[in-house]
Amino acid sequence: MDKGGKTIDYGELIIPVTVVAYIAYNLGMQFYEGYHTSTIAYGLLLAFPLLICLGSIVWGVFRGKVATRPHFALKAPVMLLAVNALLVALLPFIGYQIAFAIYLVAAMRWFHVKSWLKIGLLTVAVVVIVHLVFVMWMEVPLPQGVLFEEGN
Amino acid sequence: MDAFFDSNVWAGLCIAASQIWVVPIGVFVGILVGALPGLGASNALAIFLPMLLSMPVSMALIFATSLYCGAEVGGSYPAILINIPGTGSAAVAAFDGYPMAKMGKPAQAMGVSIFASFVGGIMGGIVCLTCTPIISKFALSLSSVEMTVIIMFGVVVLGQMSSGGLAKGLVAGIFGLLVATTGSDPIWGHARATFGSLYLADGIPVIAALIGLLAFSELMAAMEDAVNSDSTQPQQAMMTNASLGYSGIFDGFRMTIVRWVNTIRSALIGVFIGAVPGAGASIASFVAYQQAANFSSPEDKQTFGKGNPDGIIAPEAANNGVVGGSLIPLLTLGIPGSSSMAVLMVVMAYEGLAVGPRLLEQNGDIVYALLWTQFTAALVMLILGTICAYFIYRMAYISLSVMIPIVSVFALIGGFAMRQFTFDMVLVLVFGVLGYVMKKYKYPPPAMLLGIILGPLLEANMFRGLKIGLGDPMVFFTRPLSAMLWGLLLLTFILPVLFNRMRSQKKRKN
Repeated sequence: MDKGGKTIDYGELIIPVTVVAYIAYNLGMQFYEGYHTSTIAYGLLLAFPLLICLGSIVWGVFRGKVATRPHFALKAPVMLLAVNALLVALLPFIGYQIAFAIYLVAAMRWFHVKSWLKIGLLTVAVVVIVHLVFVMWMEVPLPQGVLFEEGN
Repeated sequence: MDAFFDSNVWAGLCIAASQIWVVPIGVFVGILVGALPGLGASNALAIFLPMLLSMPVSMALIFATSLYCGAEVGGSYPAILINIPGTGSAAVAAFDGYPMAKMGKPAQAMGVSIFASFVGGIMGGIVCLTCTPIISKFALSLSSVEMTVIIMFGVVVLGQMSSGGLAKGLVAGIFGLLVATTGSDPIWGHARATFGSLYLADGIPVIAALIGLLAFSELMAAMEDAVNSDSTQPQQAMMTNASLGYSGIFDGFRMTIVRWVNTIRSALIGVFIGAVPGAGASIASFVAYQQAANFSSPEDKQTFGKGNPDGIIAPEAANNGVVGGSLIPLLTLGIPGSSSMAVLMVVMAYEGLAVGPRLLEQNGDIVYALLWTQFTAALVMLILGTICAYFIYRMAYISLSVMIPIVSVFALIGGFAMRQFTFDMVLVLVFGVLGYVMKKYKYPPPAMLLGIILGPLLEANMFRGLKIGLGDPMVFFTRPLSAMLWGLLLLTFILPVLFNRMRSQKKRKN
């Protein structure tokens, strides 16, 4: 945005604004849920960061030109995020074996890995390693899914 | 030096020598477990506890110590190669290790990490064998007041982590400190900023946060780069024969030897902080990193966070020094300073050893066997670590098209492994987005991470310290030990400036 000859990139303010919002929520909840002995100490603890971040926001808005505006090609990172979010959402239902296998095949095809043999081998290798090392050896209880859960 | 005239010292050496075959197995298992995202030494020791209890006591303790040493070096492998640290201390190694690997020097980065770990282990052993009673006495005289000042050594690293300016470093660090206040209040136990979620009642899980901020954000950035450059091949062009294979790893050894002052200083920091109950490897790594950055030349200082070998040496030497240091309060007073040491104490208590101040008197041979094992474990770690690194460093050269899907799967598992909630996988994604935005606008994610790791420790110790001082903050300045520590902290800022002035004056004269 152009403000009196000054270019302001409001993206610069995302982090300080998030911090201020976090503090506001935090303190708001403390007072909303009833006064605690800890509230005053906590309020004092939060006052310093609040001031720094508010200062940073004011400085960001009123200072001179932004030197370089970062280049965003958001499509690919957002797709990665969406696919991973879908993977996490599906994990409890279809289990880690199927979810990881589908995800790996889909992602590698998306990245133009052409050889189906390579995709298949890598997918099987990763799922087997995850099963042997994490689930069997280290006893990490990854979601089994509705189909594989005991009793089904 | 009296220790060397004690018969237990030599009896311990005999026990350690007779059980030496356990050491490579322990170190190897430790490296494997440490290299798994989200898992560290304490997880490995807890999992192996039933097996440890079924072994003879000396063998169990030697195996556990070897495993602990191996896990510390193993943790740095994924941190350096794919930016997925399994622990807070490994995260510090990722600050410079990953950029160095990205510069086409993964073998050197791993060489630096292995040799610094080796020196850390050896220094830990030497200090343990010679100064155990003195250090344990000193460590126990440190209260929460002094711990607050020690943690401040780590917090001031914020000033060194500001590629986008000091203000951005501060804002990121403060954000981390704030996020660290999520969960129960350390003194009164009231819930804070949990967004109504029970999953956050214990606070933000550090592992999920660090994997999100470092690894997942990097994957998102890599996706963008891959699309922009229309290439899914990483830094193959930067590969040279000198940076590959054993020659690259040995080059890393050489880099560490050349920086011997930083290596030894960091190892000693690790030993002393390790000896303080509750301090641990994360604080040691941050403090060592801060010292390394402060004592480097102004030109060198600019390269911290961008692949400076000193930035790998400091945390790696320190976190292996912690292994030796944390044995000191356990063996001399029966106080386990960390969860890993608690497992060792369980083994000792189960086997009927006199855990506590009389341990040295009644089971001195076993105590010294444990201390001697640190040397063999360090040596085996150097050999096995090098062999493993020779095969593993190639991961840095795998094409992005294969790397991104596989790493994202392991990042999610790493986030899940610690607390075993699917919710933590969601947190990996949330912190990933946050890290991505921060990187774009030059807010340093490591500074936020520092806040998240040190925040709970700082808050708990600060409020406990205030209670000791009956609410008067002057308690942090008036106690002799804390005043001395503040003095040391100030010196770490003043001395480098003086040294640099002297250096530049010498240059002018020449």
